[in-house]
Amino acid sequence: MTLLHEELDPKLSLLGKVARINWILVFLIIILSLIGFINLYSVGGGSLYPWVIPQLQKFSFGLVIMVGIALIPISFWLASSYHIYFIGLILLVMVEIIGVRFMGAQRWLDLGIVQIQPSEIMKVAMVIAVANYYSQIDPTKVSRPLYLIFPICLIMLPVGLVFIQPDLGTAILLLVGGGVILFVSGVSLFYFIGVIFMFIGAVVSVLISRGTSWQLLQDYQYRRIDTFLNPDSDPLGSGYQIIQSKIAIGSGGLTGKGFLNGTQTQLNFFPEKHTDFIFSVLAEEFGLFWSLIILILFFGIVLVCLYEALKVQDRFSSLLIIGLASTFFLYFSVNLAMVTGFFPVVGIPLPLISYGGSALLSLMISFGFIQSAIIHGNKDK
Amino acid sequence: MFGLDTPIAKGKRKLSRRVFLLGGIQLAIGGLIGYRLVELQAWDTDDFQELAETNRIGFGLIPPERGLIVDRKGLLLAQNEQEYWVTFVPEETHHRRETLQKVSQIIALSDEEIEGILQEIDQKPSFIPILLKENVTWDKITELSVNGPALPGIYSGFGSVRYYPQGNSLSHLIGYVGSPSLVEIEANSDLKSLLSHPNFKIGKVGIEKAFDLELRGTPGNKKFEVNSLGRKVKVLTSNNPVSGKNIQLTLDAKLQEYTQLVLGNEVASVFIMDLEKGDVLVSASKPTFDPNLFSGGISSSDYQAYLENIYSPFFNRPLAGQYAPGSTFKMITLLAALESGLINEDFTFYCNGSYEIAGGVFHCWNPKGHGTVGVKKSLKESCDVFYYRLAEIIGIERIAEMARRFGFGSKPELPIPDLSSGLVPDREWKEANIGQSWVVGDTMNAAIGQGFVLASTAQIGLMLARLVTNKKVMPRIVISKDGKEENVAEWESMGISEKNLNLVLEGMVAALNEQKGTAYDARTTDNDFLIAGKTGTSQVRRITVQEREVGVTRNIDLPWEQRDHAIYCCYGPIQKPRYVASLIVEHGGSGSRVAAPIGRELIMRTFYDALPPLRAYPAEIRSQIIEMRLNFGINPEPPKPSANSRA
Repeated sequence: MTLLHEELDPKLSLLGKVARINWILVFLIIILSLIGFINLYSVGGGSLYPWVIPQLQKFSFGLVIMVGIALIPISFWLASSYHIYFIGLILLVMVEIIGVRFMGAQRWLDLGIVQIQPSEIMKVAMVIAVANYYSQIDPTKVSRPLYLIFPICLIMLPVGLVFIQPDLGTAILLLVGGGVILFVSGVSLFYFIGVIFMFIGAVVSVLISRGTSWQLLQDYQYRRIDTFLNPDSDPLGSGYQIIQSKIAIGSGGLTGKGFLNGTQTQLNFFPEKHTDFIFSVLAEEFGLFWSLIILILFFGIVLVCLYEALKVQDRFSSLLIIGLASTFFLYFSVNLAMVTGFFPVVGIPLPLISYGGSALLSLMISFGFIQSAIIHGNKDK
Repeated sequence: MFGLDTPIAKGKRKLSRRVFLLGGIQLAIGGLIGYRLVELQAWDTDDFQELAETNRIGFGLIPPERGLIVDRKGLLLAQNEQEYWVTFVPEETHHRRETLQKVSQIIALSDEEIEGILQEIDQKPSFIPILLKENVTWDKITELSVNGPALPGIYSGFGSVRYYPQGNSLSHLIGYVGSPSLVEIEANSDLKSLLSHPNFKIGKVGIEKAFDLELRGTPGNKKFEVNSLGRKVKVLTSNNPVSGKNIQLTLDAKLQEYTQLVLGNEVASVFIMDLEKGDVLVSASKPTFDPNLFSGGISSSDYQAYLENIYSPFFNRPLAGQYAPGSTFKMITLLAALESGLINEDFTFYCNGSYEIAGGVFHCWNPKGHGTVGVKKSLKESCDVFYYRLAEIIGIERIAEMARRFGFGSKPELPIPDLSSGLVPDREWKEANIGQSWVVGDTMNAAIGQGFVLASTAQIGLMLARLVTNKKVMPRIVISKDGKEENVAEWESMGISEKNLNLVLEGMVAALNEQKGTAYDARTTDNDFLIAGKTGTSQVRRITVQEREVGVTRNIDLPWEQRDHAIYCCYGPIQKPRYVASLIVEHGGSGSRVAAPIGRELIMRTFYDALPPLRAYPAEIRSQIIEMRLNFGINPEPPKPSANSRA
């Protein structure tokens, strides 16, 4: 295993590091967060509490963490990647054993002082570990089945643990996030096509098995599928959120109903509007123009990351940036697809905009790693 | 170094290709999301805006204040008072009985009331609040609020309740209000939305019912935002309710009260009119009921007691009662005869106490007979035989035609529900309704206001009003609505010859003011206010031949329900008639002895608009008047009676 890391210049001055930070990325993050605060103010009924101030504190803390991680050399993170992964895995197992039940799912770990959500840690830790693996093996051999066993284990262990929490949404995102690294590392497309066919096969068997003796899912799970396909079939049950969210977004129109004037929002027509459905608030009050701007800002972050991933010379840094950026992409696109009725309600918050400390922290940690890779992943010119 | 085909460079190239592919996929997904947003927010936005509107807008009605009812002098007859009430929304709990039992520990509901409420709940949609108790004290309301969590569906509120300051005295005419019944809700679709206001009441009887729409007013409405739970968040627009119209009636509440006092415990009815505009001053019915019991929802025991009272307190006697008018009908027969031209003022007939015709014998009330009876004497002494003779001459058709011109047989044009039309019989009617052909005896009976003839107290009063004015007097009961005076139509002439009319009136004057007149004892002695009238005694039972031989049993010796009805109508002053009064005392006995003195007392009280001065009574009965007043607990000699203060 020959590594290229020694070619990198680890002796950057602090000022040099700061200069190398991708400030466009930081700017985009801050802009989106500001939009988030404005929205939380509206969700709070025109009040800084209960959402804005706590979120502002978490964001400030997150910024500090981001900068801190960014300034630490990427070689250190590379060296610690399996340790981080291992700690994340231990925490996930602990959740299973001593986790706090919340809203029917066991996702939180109470450490006395803070409650943490290990699946959030795992989102980052898994990407680092898989990126580490692919940065160390010969790129020409990545498609060999034997070389695939270890990374698939790295991915499937946390996916399995998160799935049984149960947190289907996060499990799928972890799976796809890991898959993206395999994809960019050059694993043969046949594997992916195979997996896609298997997925389609699974979906078909689930659907046709309904009502037969070998029915694969429980009846209530089928009803959820029905609700997704036709929310009007259960307008006051689980279809309610989708319907009300679509009404909120649609009624916003081109220019929106005005800040604090969203009737759907201010009259509490949909639940979880400060978390998963916050985009509906924004779209209702600010209209199509601003919803598209948000979409573009999110894409701006992803595209800047992909650009940096192509620019950095260090393979680990590239893979890390792509993996984390793709996770970020998956989060916001699944959330937007969900609130617009494109995708089932899976409980994925909108990164940077939704209220929530754990997700924000893990996101800022991700950006910290991305910045670290951008700072340290290039040779000094 | 990029050209080198090392594994690392290969990996790098592959990575770049894959990153572009990945970016392309991501942009495609982004494009789809963007497309979706345009679809929702630009193309379909109208549909969603409509959905958002229907989501958030709720409507509510604000009940209007019911209009006031005042008498001709502005005295309040029906008003609204603030009160607290407790309601129950059945759909908010499954343990209805338990909740009601818990509530009853605070606001005292009897077991039967709870059963009644549970029945009511079954009959109405479960989201409609049911009124549990009205007139609840503030203390109880606070206690209920404190126990709110344990009492799901229990609400308190405040609003106005109808109050009738005059109590029993006017209850038949004014009526009362109550919660609309299911039938009434079906009939008034506009009421449905007001149902959510548990104390919204509608007029059930009398004036309250007749003018319900005007008294009710127009409800205001509120448009408000509702949240996802349907709870009102804020009022968007509201239109204030328009209070119902205030109605001024022609009634004189004080006079009515005095009427009730004079009637005492009789089962009776009185109707008094002012001839200037046809104003109904008094329409009194005895016994009465308390309309205030209904405002708060009458208890079933109170209601049952009223229903079981054999004297039917709910019956509006002056307007809905039907009695044989007896001798008060003789004016009609006499006028019909005079107008027919078949007799003139010089017509006389000899009364020997009975009249034989078509093989039947018809008796005069005075078995000794009246001797030679002329037109005036026939009314003065109320000779039956004279009228049998007239009837034989003119026949039933002329009598019936004259009776109808004077308002018999049709409902008086008063805006009161449940008026009786009485009955003017003729050949056709008897064949259609009894299935027998008309016989001479029927004509004989009709001529003296017996047999099939039926009339209400009001109709007798109206007949007299038309008689003394020679105009087709129309009674009116409403002076103004919201200060706007009702139109008073010019009355048509009755088209009766003045000469004939005066002959009839002279007979009535004689009945009171000449000795041997049937109501001579009920005359007045104040020259400013001399009155004229006609008594009537309507037979309730049939007097058998044997009884006539041994002498007709005196009323006082008969059981109450077999005694005759005492009837009287009078007007005054005779020079320039202004007031008419009619009254019927059920099973009161003789019209002259029972009804006529009451008539004098009331028409004098009307004329003087105060307690009549003693000088207006014949000297020999003044001591009785003093005694009566002492019994009423009023000063028998009022300090300074002012003559004709009403005019």
